[in-house]
Amino acid sequence: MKRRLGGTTTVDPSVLEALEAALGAGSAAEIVAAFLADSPARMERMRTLAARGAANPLGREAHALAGSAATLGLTALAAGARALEAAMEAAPPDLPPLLSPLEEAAAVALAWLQQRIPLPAPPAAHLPGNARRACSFACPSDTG
Amino acid sequence: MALAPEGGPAVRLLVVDDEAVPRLIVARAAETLGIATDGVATLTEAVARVKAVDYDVVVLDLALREHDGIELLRHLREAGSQAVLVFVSGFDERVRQAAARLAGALGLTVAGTLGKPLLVEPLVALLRALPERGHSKPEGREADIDPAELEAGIDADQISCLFQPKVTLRERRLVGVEALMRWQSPRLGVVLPDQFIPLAERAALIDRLTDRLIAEALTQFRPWRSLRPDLTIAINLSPVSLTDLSLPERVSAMLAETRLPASALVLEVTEGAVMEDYVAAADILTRLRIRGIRLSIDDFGTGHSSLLSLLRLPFSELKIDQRFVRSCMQDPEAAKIIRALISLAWELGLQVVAEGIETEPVAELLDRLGCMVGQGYLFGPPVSHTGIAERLQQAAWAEGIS
Repeated sequence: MKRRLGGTTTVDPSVLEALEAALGAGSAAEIVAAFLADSPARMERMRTLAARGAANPLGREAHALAGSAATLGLTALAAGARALEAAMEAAPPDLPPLLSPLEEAAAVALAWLQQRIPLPAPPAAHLPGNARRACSFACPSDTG
Repeated sequence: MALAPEGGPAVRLLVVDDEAVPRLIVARAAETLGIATDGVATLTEAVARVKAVDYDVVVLDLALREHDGIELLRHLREAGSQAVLVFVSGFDERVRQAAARLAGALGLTVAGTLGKPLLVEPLVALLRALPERGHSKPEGREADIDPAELEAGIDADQISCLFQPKVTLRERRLVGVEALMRWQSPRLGVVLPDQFIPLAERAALIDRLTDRLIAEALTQFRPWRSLRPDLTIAINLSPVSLTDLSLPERVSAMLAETRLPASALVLEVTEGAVMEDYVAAADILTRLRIRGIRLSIDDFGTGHSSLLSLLRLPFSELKIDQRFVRSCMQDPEAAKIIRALISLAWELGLQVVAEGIETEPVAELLDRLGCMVGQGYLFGPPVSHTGIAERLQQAAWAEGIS
């Protein structure tokens, strides 16, 4: 299922692993689920903006996507979004064709995420305990 | 979207980011530290939240889709928020630093800035090390000062003026002085402007303070003009003064009282000040300029709307921020920016003053880059009236015999 586009790595699994290690598998799954849930609407927004020739707002969408994709280790998608963001600065005339490489990268990335984290776990039943234990910052009720 | 766990821990954090991924990462990372988090995606929601809740920490994405996150800074200030800020942004470090500086100018405390992708470890490290609000603020003792104490200090003439020289970089000739306030408080000792100006702004004492500063600086400056007819005096205006429509008349009256021409006075304004209330600022600055008073844009290049301000407002001088000046020897990019700023100033017919010059090589580099006038410890720290008078007399004597 893991694929490569044009020889470049499409995903960096270690990023998601680091997220799981830092926040727990439940939180990581919740974050991935939120990204997946937002994705169809985001793509639809980007298509609409491209069709309207709205380079500036499309650039801002791409900027936001680049940040989230990179945070989840979706290397190729992040790179595609950054490229689109950069392209929008010159306000090119015909936007929809510029969106195609990004759609392709998004399809690959989302498929990988769904396979990597098949069922979005319910938000983190273990977290409250964690929160109490790890509290080191102005929690008088815990320390006192 | 309320992400706060039940139980209501003491510290409250607001994360403002239009992306769900960073919003959730901040919330979950904060939870591991026992910090309750609210997350919002838009500026409108954020403004409503900061009006309703007194947050301890605000984590802000600088690039929201419809607005830039910068706008929230003004609302935080208006709400009197003491929240510590953390900036998150996919822009480069320079943008985040500029935003941090603007926040500082608005009296807000910035704990740090994070890039994207948002990594959990640096985020947690930053949240762990947050300064407790109201205690380790960079403005230092501001929190301890009672407005009534400052007001009594103004009445008792405890506010005095120091003057820092501005010289030409090539001949090192004294061409101007910048007046700086000091408060000699019986209880606190010498208090610097950073520590009492924000308080004066909040306590509506700033107009009295500004008037006092202008009147005293002009009075002390008056005799120096006889020794050096082209000498100018620069005075900093608070952003709050730029909302006071009677300022131009008051300044004119004080100039008339000291029989000084308007062209002797330079009023320095920071970029952030201009964007606070643009219409009032433009009104006041234009009327000051029409009266012949010179206007200087201070800390240029670190704020938000520099070029637009230059385009729309009648500035006559541009001050290059000391951050560029301090790094120009090590950082070739800083030198390039200075060169570009100088060329921009030339095109617009503005005088250029470089701030924060501390070493000879920096002064020489700035001279080569085309900067005519400089200010900084190399040419002298802020000194009392006597210090400037002596310097002028020595110069007059040296010029007399040469």
